[in-house]
Amino acid sequence: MTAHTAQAGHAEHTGPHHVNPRPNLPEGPAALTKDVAERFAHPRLGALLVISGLMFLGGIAGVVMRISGGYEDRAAWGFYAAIFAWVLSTGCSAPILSVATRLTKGYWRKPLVRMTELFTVSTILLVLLFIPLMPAIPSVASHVSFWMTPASTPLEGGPQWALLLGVLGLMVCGLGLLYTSARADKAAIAEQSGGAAAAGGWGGTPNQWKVMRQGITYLGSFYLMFLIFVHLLVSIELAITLVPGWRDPIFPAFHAITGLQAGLATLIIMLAVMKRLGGYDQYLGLDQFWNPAKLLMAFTMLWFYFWWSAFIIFWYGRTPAEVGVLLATEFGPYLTPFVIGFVLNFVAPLLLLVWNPIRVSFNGPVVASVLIVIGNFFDRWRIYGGAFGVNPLGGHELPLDRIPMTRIPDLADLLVLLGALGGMVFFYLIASRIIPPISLWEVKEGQLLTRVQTLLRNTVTVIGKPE
Amino acid sequence: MQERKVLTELQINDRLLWPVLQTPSWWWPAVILASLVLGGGVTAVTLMVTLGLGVTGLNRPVFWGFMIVNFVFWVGISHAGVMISSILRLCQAEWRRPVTRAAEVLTVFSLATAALFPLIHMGRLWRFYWVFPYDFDRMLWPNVRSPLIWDPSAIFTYLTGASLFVFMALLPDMAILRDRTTGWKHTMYSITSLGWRGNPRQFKLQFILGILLSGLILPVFVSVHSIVSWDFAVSLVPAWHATVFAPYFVIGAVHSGVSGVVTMMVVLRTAFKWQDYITPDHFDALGRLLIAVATAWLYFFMLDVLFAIYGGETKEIAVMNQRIFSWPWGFFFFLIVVLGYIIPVGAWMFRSVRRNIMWMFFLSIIVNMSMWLERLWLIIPGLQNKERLTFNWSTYQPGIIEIMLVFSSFGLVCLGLLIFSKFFPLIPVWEEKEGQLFQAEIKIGNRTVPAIIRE
Amino acid sequence: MVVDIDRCTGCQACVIACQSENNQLLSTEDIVRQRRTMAWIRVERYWEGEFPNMKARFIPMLCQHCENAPCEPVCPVYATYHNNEGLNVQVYNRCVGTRYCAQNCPYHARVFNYWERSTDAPWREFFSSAQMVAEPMNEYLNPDVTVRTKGLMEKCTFCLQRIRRATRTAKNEDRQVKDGEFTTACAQACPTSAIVFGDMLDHNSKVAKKLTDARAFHVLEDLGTKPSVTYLKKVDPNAKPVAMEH
Repeated sequence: MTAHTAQAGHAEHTGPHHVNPRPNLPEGPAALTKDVAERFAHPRLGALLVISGLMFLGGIAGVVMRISGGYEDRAAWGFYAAIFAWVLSTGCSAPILSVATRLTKGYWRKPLVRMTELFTVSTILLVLLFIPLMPAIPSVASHVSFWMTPASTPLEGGPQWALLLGVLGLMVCGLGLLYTSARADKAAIAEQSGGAAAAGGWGGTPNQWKVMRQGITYLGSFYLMFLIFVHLLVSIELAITLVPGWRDPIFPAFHAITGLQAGLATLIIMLAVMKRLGGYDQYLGLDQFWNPAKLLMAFTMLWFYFWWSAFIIFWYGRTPAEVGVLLATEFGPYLTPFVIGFVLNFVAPLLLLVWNPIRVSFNGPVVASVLIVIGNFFDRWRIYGGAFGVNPLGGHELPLDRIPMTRIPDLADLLVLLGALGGMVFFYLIASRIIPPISLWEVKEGQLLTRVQTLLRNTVTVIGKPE
Repeated sequence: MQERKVLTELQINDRLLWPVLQTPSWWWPAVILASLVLGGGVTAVTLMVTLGLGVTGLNRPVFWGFMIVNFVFWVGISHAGVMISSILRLCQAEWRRPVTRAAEVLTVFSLATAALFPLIHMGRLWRFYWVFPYDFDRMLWPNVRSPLIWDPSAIFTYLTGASLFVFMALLPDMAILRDRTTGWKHTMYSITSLGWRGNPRQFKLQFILGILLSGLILPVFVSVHSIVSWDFAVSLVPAWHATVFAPYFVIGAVHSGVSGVVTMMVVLRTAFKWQDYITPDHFDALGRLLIAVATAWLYFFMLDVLFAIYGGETKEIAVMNQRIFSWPWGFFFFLIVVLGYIIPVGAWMFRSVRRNIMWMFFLSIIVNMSMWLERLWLIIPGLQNKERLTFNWSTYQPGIIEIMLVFSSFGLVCLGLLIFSKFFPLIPVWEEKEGQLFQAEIKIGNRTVPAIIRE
Repeated sequence: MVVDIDRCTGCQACVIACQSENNQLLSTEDIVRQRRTMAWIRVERYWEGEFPNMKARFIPMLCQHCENAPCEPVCPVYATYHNNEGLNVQVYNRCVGTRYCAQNCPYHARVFNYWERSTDAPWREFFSSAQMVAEPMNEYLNPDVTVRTKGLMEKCTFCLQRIRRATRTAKNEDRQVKDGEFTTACAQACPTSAIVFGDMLDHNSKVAKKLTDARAFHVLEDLGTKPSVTYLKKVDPNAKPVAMEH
């Protein structure tokens, strides 16, 4: 039984789309390794690497400018905090696709698994961004904080250390996940050029495979847990506790879900870049865009659901504390970023993705994703800009005469923003030159378990389910 | 999937249709028992209507008690059907096949039962129709701003959608029954099966309808329990006024509902002798799903508890104190976490437990006990210690009427399921046959791996 | 309305007056045990201090007729709404008894008719705490006020029947209602004139003058309900400064 994927896919009876939904992969493990090794040895996107590297350097300059401006004016750090949260929501949340879909065992994920895992290097950027932010977090004694200790022993530094622990743990799990998953592939590529000795400690024994699978499962689960934990801490320590009267238990969940939406969008954009410009066209078929697009549509609807759940409670009760919070973060000085974020995160992507021709295509999901990534930044800006602008802290509700003013970002802020964007791309591209962007062992496993047969005059795919 | 049985169409027909074509020995006793329990509920409602709500244990300020707890509980159970049926259908998971109809039917009956409770707990239930906009002459409209108007809209939409879902999936099976019965049953099935002939065009239309309905009912399913949760969350009652209620209730509903489906699957497997169709594989898959759902539930639960205390507001702290440190609420809190998460999830981590029918049955029952207690724990304490005017704080003692109503709701759902099982097969016959067609095997090296055929 | 807590002695004359004026169900021992006291105005009593230096503090609590009433948006059938006189009005024949308004009232001002007032069925009294209103007990009923059936919500109406009578008389005489021409039952009965009722918008009324008192406050101010009832703080010459409650 030979597997012929290319010819079968062209047939129209695979669906209404004229394009082959499945990727056109080389046949057999050896051919796959050779193909990926070739692309890996001659990576493209050199220009993008240089540009993003320059942006990253500009970002470093921006951070230095921000630090030299001092920490007394907490409002000046609001934009920076928004950038930090944005990196968390876009780059660091992207690997979740690989973790989550591993549990559901969809076969479309196999070519893009490594590309999602490569995003774990954004956690390095996250840690680098966090360190200058630490002194900007106000002291525990100055306001009603989540560290519910008595006023006499306020546990100073609690937020800073918890957040540091969180982002460091995220980084360790993410990089560990990447390393564990890539080990077999690096060994395969090295072996092909340098022989068995070059493969290092990886021999491909059943025990090693078993340990690797377990490792990926556990590291993936821990990454997910750390990610949710960091979303929780960031939304609490950098936003909720800074605005008196903001008692909103769904906000950490809103932050996490919108982060997952933006992470998925970031992934889709990077897939498009890798396909069109990175030279991995053959590996990324329609399935690899269509399935994430379905998920993206679901998460877009969830964006609205979580936002509305918070809004309806605050708006309905109309207690002064709640009105203050709504004004500070959404309808007051930060109305414009909020509306832009609302349109770009929910209205526009949903209106785009509900249409089949847009959703089941290569470019449609990418356009929606770009809107979402931009919109996510505006959303974070209105949250953290508003929260950091509240001064002085304290009290149990935000009086209406203390609503913070809008703060227009200055040069340092913009440099940091560009640096963050550039940094994410730069780190990713560097990582893709160290670790092959196609998960060879996953794709080979998928090929082994897939056959194409004829059933009652239809050509169908048979997918093995060894579990 | 370890055990794959190859079954012929004749075997499938026989095995799945026998409860409809003949009556199991236990069926009549079960129906009589369920009717008796339901009768108790009917008596209770009659007393409430003739003598007034004073016969219950409600007082001032605890105006909502067991009946509303029960309402939320049954709406929760009703969420499993859609979750399993539509999400698994959209993901094309093969293991859904025996589970879908039972889950959907559980949805329909539990939702209908749930909808009765806000009705019977009204002071003047005979005027319930005033919540509908019908009075065009006098321009007397219901208050659209009230969550109690959003409730019936959402519940009726969901009920309609779920009923359509069940009906659509029943069409081929009703056609099979039409061809195997005579007399009044034959006439009934002929009418309801809408002339189903089983040709490719009809199957294709039904498949598309299934996908469409699955996609459309998902937003409804999320919004129904969110709207029910907003009954509580938009009010100013201390423990209720939290933004997290919407997803918290939905996840809790999925948790309790999927466990309810597990309970039902065990009962079906044993009572109807469907061991070939409901295999340990299904419980394994359900168990893994439940681990994820239960963990998400715990996350939202922790968010709710932590945020209640963090603000330091005296009214919230007062309620949380009562809920955690006083009797019986502290004990309930302990039971909720232990029975709802620690014991079940700890057990579900083990494959051997997930594949053991008796263990899954036991675990699903304790999960639902914990979820009922969780609804109670959410709703009553906030009312008992409402606001800072402590002179009015009170306690709630449920009367015999309310306890009777809670039991009779179980009776009503069981009665509905029993009667349904007499007229329609609770496992979709056509889905099982389709599943047989989609089964295959592939050889990799020396090993034969079970496989599924996909388009 | 202004309630001066400094003058309140906790005598509960207001409670009795309200019950008589508005045909409330008698709060018998049974009813109180069931925790379903039917009082529209109640005197809340809080004890302070340790024996033998105990003090009782009284707050007469009634419906605050809030401008931003939490009970109004939640009624599914519009049985409660704000009229243009500034009153929060309860329409008995529209109420279907969902009791959502009572849940949402932070002042616990609302009361539900759990039982029937029956006139001729002794068996009802056997099964329940329904109260007989057979002769001659029906003589105590105020003909200006409805007798509510079971399943309805009720609460303080600021003696709407007295308001209507006064406005009708004034209209017939082609003039405005004068301050002090009528008052609510509770204000009428209070021996120390702790409760004062009137038109807040009339600058010359007794009520408006009391509103400017330095002791004025609203109960549960932080909820933003904007109540129409203002309380005047009790003056305690021996009190030590207390931390602000949040």
